[in-house]
Amino acid sequence: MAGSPRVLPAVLGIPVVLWQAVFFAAPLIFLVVVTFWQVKSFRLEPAFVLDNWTRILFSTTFQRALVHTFTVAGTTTVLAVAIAFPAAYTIAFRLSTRARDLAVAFLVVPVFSSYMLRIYAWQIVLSPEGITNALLGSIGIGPLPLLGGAFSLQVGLLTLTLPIAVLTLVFAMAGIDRTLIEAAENLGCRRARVIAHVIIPSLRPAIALTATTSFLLAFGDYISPLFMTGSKPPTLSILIVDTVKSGSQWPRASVIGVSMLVMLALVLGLGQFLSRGRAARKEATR
Amino acid sequence: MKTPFIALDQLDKRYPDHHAVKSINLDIDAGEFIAIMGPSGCGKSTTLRLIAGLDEPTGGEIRIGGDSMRGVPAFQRNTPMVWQSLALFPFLTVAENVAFPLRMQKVGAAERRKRSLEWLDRLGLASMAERNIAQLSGGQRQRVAIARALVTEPSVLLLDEPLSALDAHLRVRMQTELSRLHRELGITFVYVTHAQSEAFALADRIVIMSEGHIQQVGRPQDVYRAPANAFVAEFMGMNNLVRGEVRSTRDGVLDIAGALGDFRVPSATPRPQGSKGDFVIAADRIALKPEADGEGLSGTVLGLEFVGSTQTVFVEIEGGAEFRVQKQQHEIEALNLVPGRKVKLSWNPEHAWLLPQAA
Repeated sequence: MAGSPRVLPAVLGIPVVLWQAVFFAAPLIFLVVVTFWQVKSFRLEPAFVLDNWTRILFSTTFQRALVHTFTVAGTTTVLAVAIAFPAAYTIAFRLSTRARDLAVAFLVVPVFSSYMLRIYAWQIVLSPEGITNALLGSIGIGPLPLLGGAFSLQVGLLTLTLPIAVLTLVFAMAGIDRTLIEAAENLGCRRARVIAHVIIPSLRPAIALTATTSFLLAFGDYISPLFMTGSKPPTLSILIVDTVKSGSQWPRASVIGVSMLVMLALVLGLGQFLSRGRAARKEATR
Repeated sequence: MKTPFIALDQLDKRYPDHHAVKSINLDIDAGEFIAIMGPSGCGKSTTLRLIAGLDEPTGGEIRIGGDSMRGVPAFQRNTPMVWQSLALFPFLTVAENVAFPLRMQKVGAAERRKRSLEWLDRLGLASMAERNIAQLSGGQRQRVAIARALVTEPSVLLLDEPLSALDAHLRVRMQTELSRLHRELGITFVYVTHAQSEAFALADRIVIMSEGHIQQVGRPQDVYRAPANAFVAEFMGMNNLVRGEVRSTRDGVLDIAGALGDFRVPSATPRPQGSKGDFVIAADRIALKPEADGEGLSGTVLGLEFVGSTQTVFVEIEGGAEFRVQKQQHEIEALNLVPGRKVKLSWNPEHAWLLPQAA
């Protein structure tokens, strides 16, 4: 039986299923369970109370952090796609094969280098006594408060998201059937309009993927909010750490965590919906 | 003199590693159905791309309707093409695909819709308008590609091996369809193919290309019966080439001596003794007789091959050459033609075609 063609794929799939069960499903279920537990004199006790949920969801700190995190991640998403698209277009369509390979290599290296290290580097560049302000000071400008605000936060988050966004789009663009572009030109589409009429529609799924990936990374990030803004105002990830630190409130931190996961699931669903072309959506709703 | 609708004038295309089209000249009349044929890599598709403006020529000029296309970008030429891969936009519905060229011309939405539906209706796809491309069969996609190319009512339609992805049955049906459209629209069709049957079934004139050169331009029957050179004769497949040397000329007939024997071949112009006298004899012009009977070349049947209602008989001639002879099924049976059978081949000397001397 184990050798039959229908059973074999199932057998080969077991490690993945196990991995998912042990490292994804089980912790997730535990996280949800903990939201109903209690903390008594700094000790976690199993219980079933809704107190954690009401306290967190109705607290203004949480609500403000939620709006703030959404705004920050949304801004990063828009900036990442807006910067990555023209960059990817240039790399995929305008560079020679050699230059393209080089550009891709330069994008892959930061993805695999330490994020923390890159953020420290930005601190040196942006700090009040840093390189940028030293240069600006030499021509009589500044010092500017580059570090510790919305600007530096976006710099940090784009450091995280931009290389991945550009790479995703470059690979997607490389996969576009060039005949479609020629066909569009043949049918009266000038070069500049090809981007709007062929390239962007062909890239719909890749653009949605880039946007959701950027949003996911920015929404859950802890390092940039901590080191580029000094955690003020707090994002949800900062809030989780604060909640745990102040009185071992694991259940309340779990409530924030579960809320974040729900948000991300909604964003992923939206991304999925947008990635389908209008034609495909029309089909699905028939 | 009438000016041709499309004129290729010393047209040349050189790629860094490949000289695809070598200074070709070709005049195409308005309303003509012209097929460009040749083996792969002969330059036929490049020629079509040059006409459409998808590639820039490295020499010469293209004129359409008397206007030079030099510097005119592809999107301004209105030379729509039907691609081998069809190149339909997968992110648009069937109707949106057909309306695409109208959208590029800034035609209003209502008018776009009306005209694309008219074309879909004309090609029998009215009920498919809201479908996705992925939901259509190969033949239906083919029709969408044709409708999309014709929706702007262009004066020329370019087709690049449009039927090669279809199965044999559908191919024949689409041929009929294309033929009907050409008749009804009266516009110029330029059709690139490597399939002789398609070219012969559809085209008014056939252009045969090889290695970037035009080998011959002519009506299908001319190309078949009167090939311009050995390449065309062999490309047509159903011709037998006999090499020889001119012995003497008298009254419009040449005496030719070759490795296979002596032959008489008609010729309008005399040729000097000792010059080349290669000629072809079409496979359907050869008579086969049992070996004992009469005159002609002696040969042995090698094998038979069905081609529709007829069969091709492969005969090995004494002296080494291989001949193809086309016969009806009943003739094959009457002569009991099986491999190994000895036969005599003969033909009416008037049916031999002397290859013109290379210029």
